[in-house]
Amino acid sequence: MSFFPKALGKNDGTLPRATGSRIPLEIGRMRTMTSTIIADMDAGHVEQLPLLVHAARSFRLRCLVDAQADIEKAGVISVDEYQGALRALVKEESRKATVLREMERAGNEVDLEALISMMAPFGVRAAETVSAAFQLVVEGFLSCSVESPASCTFTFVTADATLAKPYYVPVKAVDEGMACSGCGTCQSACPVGCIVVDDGKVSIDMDKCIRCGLCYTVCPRSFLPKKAMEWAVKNDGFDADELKAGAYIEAWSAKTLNGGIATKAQDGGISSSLLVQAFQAGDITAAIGAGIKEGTPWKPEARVLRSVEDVVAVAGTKYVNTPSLALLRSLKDISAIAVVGTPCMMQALKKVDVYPPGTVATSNIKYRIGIFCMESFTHAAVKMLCEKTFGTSLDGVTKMNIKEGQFIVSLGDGEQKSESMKEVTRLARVGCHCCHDLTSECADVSVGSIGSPDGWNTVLVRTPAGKALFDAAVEAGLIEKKPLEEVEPGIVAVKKLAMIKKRNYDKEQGKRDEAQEFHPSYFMKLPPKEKKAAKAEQDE
Amino acid sequence: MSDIMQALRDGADGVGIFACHKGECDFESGNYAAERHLNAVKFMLAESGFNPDRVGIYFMSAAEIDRYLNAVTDLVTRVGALPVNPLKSDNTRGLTISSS
Repeated sequence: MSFFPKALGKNDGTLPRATGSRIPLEIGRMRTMTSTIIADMDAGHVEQLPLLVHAARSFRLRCLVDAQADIEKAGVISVDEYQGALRALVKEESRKATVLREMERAGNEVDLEALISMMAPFGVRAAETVSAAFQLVVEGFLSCSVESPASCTFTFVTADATLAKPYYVPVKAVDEGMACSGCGTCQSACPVGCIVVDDGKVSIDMDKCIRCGLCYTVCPRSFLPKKAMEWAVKNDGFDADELKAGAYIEAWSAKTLNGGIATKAQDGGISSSLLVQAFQAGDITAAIGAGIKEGTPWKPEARVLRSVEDVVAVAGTKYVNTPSLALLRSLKDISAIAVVGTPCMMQALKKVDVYPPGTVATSNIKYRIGIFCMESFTHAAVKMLCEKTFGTSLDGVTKMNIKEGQFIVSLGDGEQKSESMKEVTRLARVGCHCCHDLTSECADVSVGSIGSPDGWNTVLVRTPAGKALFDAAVEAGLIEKKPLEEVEPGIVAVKKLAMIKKRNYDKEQGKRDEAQEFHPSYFMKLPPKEKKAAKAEQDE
Repeated sequence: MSDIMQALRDGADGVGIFACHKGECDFESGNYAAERHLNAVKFMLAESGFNPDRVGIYFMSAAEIDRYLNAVTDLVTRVGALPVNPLKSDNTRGLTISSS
């Protein structure tokens, strides 16, 4: 398949294209081809050559090619996957070159919508255009100004590849910049397996690192034009409500009817119930979740769940960070899986969707169940909290919960101790201050306790896949539901808290900008506060 | 990699790389790197519908005229059988290979 089958070249079907003669790039061995005559180099076809020149200059591609032997030696990815990664990169770089070429031709400011329609004749999909354009911005070929949550304007800067800012840095920059979310996606994407994520910290074996930058590409905290991505995919407008808690189809308050889950669950037990439903219906054969590691109380580990029993065993929230997505790689051969995770993990999956690195894929993920998350803690922080503030060891704690501004721990004998969240938040991971997403806006279904009464979950159904799963669980009698409008405090509370998180991120970003520290680029602009906006109107 | 690609973009019909015997490179592994890059270029060409036969690498020492001749003949025969690159400028026009 050629890159731009529709626009370039004579596509009248009379010329045999080279589709049949794709040669494998064999590792470590020269491939001699028997000569087959292909009708290449026709007038339209050669337009791809400048794009390929640009692609060949790509630092990332060079790294993958030069590290062939290392990748082979590491044995983490197969030859097929290696080729897949190369192919994905070549396509991506060619697309970027096309966007750059068209931007240069346009010569002036182009907003995202116009850019997408500019690229459509070349067979480049909206999401691909967004992906390419924002990469070019990060590399310094284009500049981008964000005017509103939904629209950004791009300006052509340079086409000189030697001036490119190499954004292909390892996630170390994210980690050292105290922005890492500890999701573990980079560990899955690394072609030589030199990254290990544990307890919210990344360690990279720099001797093994081939500096391909795939980790940085899939990292949700490097750059993430989330709103633009979603907008491009849906290609319709935005409303202010959508900005607050993301887009959703339905909002419910729900609780599980499964006794086993109910006794162990944090609140309504919905994420566990949804997994149980998916397993029982045979939709999935494995799921990624987090369970407590044996022998280390409240230190969770990412775990592959393979049955209903596994799901019930790990029910309940753990407030300690887990690199769940590091398991993605080991599940690549399973055809249908579900992932339960925090907003940062859902963002990471979305990032892999839009920037497929070739080494890790999301195609087998059937359901993404996101949980609400204000912040997470390192294991050491939770330990300190329990020992210093509550005067108890972690062994004795049976449940942790955050409710109405209080961090509550339940001890075995029914005793509860609590501490104001204002104090506890100080112990939260610094990286979590770089997050603007409370409600897992990139998930299929988001589940949390905010907005619903005790023992119930707030469920935001966001995609058709999520709706199908939730409806099936209700039908199977696993879940009891009532509309979120009918409960107190309802969606208002969710939106309020979600906005607080976004504003906090905005402040953090300002602080980091001032101190010239690293912060993720979300290409997002919050509307002014409602009160302020009203006041400004009055002043006028 | 981009140099090979650039030659094609500037109108070359094919690109040959003539390298030292493996293990005899003055820069230790330069010829291995060249081969790797050439393979990648072949991959990119094949991926986008060009004939990867347009590029080739040949290993020889400066004293082996017969190998050189064979290599050039091989490349010319292979590339000569393919359509002419329409991107020729005045600089590269002279390089056109006739397929007679």
